[in-house]
Amino acid sequence: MIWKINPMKNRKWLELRSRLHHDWLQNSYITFLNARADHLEGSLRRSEKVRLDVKEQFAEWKEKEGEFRLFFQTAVDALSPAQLLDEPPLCQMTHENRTWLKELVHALFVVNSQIEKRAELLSAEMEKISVTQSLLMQIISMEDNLLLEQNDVSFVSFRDSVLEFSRKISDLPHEVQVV
Amino acid sequence: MNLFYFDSTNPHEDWWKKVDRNFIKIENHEFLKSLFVLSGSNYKKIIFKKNEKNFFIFHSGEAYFNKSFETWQKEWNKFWKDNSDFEKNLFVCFFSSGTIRFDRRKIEYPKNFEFFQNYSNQNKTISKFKRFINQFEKNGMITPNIFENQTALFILCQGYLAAHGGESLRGWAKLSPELKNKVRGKQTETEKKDWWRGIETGKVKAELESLLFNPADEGPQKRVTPESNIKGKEQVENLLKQIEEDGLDLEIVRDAYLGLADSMKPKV
Repeated sequence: MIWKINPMKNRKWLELRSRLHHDWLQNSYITFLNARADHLEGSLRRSEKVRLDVKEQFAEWKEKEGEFRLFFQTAVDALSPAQLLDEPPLCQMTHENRTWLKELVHALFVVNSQIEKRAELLSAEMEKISVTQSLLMQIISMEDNLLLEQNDVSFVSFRDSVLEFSRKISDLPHEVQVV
Repeated sequence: MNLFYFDSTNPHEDWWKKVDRNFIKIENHEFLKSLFVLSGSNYKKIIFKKNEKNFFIFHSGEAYFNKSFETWQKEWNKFWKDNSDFEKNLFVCFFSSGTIRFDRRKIEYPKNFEFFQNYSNQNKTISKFKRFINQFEKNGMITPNIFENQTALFILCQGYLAAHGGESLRGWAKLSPELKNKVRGKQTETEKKDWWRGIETGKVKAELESLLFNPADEGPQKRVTPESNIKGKEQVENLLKQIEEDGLDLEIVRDAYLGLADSMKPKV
């Protein structure tokens, strides 16, 4: 609940969000999953060409995990009204008053918005999707032919989880939350 | 970066030249038609170049704006839903003269959006406008806080009330005892006039007016007056008066805080 000294500001966080969620997840990865998930379910074992075709793009999830973690870890600070005390007109207050007022408005924001819990849940959801993605990656790489039969995983359910994950990210506020 | 200027006002109103940037000026455009122009394939090819920033200025006369605002607003939201992939490289500014009241939150897209209601005070407006252009050019995204004075007043009320007991603050009961004790010790600080320094009462009033107005309900120039809004407005104005007169009262601050909370809450 403590307001950090150099927190992620809203604008930087929105840039990260735009790049990660809008540009990559929605416009690239989900588009790819929508186009290939149904087909992958049946044809993987039959066709090496299909495997090679999808492997690289499917693996992109792993590359984005770090950015997603950062995105969720910084959500609380980025949406906190405490940052408004560094901008006009509140930046005109004395340093001492700004310090305790920042702490107060941040604490009120945290208890009222439940934002920490939402960010934690999304983070946990991402880790869960990552586990499934790793399993499916092994299947694509043909490291273990039996995985698809032995595990309750499928490309379609993976796609659906990613879609739901994206929907929840969309529900996060964009702007600094004051009230 | 591309700067496009759609002008439906009298051509002699060339205040925008003071901005001292190179605009692609589209004169005498018809306000509503601007959307259809933008969504046309030729414009998409010309304007929405990948990896280029586009700054749009729509400048509308008061009469025209009021007449067509509701239709335009619906079309605008639809347009941006259909073209949301352009959002990150786009900033939109609206200029309109006179007494138009505008609820920014009814505009859903894009996030990079600013509305200048009154450009008669040109130096300030142009200075703010220039800042937006520069920020957008440099960073690609900005988050204009159009209600910055009202927001600031709300935060100061939170501090004042916390220092004086805090019971009326939403979430106060869940704060740690350490923090409560710390802020309660700041009572003297919040009693000083200095506490409200930076609050421009005229700007808060103007921002509050724009929030209370709801064009979708009663038409562009009438004001919606539900009981709760009138109450909130009066109470905020009471506080502003007290700030100007340098006399404060806990009850007034509390009522203004509740009024501001009510007016600033996102309307569904």
